[in-house]
Amino acid sequence: MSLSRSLSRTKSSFFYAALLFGTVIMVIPFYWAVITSLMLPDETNHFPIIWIPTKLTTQWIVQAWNARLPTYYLNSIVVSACVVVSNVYTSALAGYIFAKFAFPFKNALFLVVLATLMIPFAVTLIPTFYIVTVILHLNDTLWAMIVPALVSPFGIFLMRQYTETIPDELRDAARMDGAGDLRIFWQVVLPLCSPAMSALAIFHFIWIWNDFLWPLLVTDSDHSRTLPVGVALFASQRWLQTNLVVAGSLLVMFPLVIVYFIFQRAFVQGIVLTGMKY
Amino acid sequence: MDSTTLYQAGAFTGKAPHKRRRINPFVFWLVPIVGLILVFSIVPIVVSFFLSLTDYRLNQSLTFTGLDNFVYALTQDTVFISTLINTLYYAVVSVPVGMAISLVIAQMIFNRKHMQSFFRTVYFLPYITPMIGVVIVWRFLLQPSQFGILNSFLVPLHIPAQPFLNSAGEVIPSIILITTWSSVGYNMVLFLAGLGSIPDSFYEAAKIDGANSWQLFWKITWPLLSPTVLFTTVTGTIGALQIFSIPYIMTQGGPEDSSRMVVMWIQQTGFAQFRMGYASALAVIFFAIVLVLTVFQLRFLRTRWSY
Repeated sequence: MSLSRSLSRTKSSFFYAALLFGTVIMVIPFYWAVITSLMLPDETNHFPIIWIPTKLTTQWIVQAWNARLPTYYLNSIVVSACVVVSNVYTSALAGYIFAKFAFPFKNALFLVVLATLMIPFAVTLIPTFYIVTVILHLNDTLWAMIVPALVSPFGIFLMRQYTETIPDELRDAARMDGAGDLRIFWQVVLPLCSPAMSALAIFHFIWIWNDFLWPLLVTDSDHSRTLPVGVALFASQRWLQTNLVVAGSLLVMFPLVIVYFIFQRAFVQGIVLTGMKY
Repeated sequence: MDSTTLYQAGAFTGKAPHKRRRINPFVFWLVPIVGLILVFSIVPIVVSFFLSLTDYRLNQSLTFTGLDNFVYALTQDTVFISTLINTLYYAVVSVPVGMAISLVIAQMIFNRKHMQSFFRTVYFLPYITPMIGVVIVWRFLLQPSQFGILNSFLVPLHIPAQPFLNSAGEVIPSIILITTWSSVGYNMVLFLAGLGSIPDSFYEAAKIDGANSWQLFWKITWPLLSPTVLFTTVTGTIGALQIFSIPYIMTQGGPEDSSRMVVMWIQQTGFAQFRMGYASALAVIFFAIVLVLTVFQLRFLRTRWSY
């Protein structure tokens, strides 16, 4: 008995050591980014590597921030806010209708929506580009990134799964009290869906905030570039200035890491919920 | 009694019940939503298939060329073939490796009363970090020569400094390293949820029967996790095949096309060379490959794990 206990204790401390080792691997790139953004170049280029800088400077952060970063931030925030709000609302609405209303060709229509989930983005790229730039003339505007992403087949699917679990009696009761369908949707269905909606919001936010290929194609100037495209351009012109480029990357990562630490639980649960309902 | 029958019964309109089923007007909110899906998903798919049979270039008249694009892509476009091989290589290695590591981490974290949320937070952190920041930092960490950060850990272990992104042989493994680092937390979180849904009593019963922890894992955990494994494999593969931004920013496909991926080549032919008809054909071929792989995985993994 005591042998097996000490065995399981060794196993447990081995796991701990492994997990701590993994933690170091996860954290070191962030740590390196922080010190490099604050270091002087002669310490950055020093060999062997200096892990604890002796002199700190904020010049790289300031310089990177002044390289159009506020514009990129604003663009990214506007695009993702519009996309996320629209996605969550339209997904809840369409999901609710698919779950609770009867109409002709409902299943066929839902299958078509589901089928679009299977399509890689590269397949729709060229015609969508044509629609957005040639037909709608939205090239180099924030609309070019917002309009094609206003609705989400995945969101509709997720919200249909979720709204299906709402008992019909709730809706019937509200109806007896004289509430119209839109009012029932706003006051009964939406509040009940809030866990799924916040999960969907987080999921779409991560996706749209990181989206790279589409903004790369439809933006030509700084007034419409989002953060990923703007910062990639910024970095590609300055790869030799290590401190400056890393300071730029830090300014991109830092706010999101803070948001993550504040809403940690919601983020993790959001990912689990969207992953599990698939 | 559901809404339509209540509606038909005239409860709200005060009219006599209709013979024909009436559609609740609320359903018409679907029209703009489905309309947007139609315009930005379904129409583009159909148009893509059509364009793939033409020599279309932006703002020029097109001629119908039949299957020429497909024949050219599969027989003469050596870059396309190598992007296919690169992408498959990347997906086939990165998906199982990423899953194995995240499953091991999830197993080690699960059941740990202390620090579970600490470890979960840390391992999930890179997933939440904006991709562009990750790419920039890793490009520096992976610098070749002994002055690179990662190399500075290898040299003391008597491993020679590696070229990483600068060598045709190591560039894809380097990209796999980065994507594994950044996405391990995502699968881990899903596996943790999967592990949490397995009832404790299964393990207790097996332990009474004298099962060791190896048997517990292979006889209980692994089969009961199969839905999560199936989900992460299928969605992970679909995602991995579409890799674009990391090689695009880090290597531009180099050295010598060894990290050029399919989507990069579609973007290159379509939007840099403006051969949009040809790029559509490449996209259609790519779509077919993704579809076949997905169906294959669903069928193969499902039949193995049908309980």
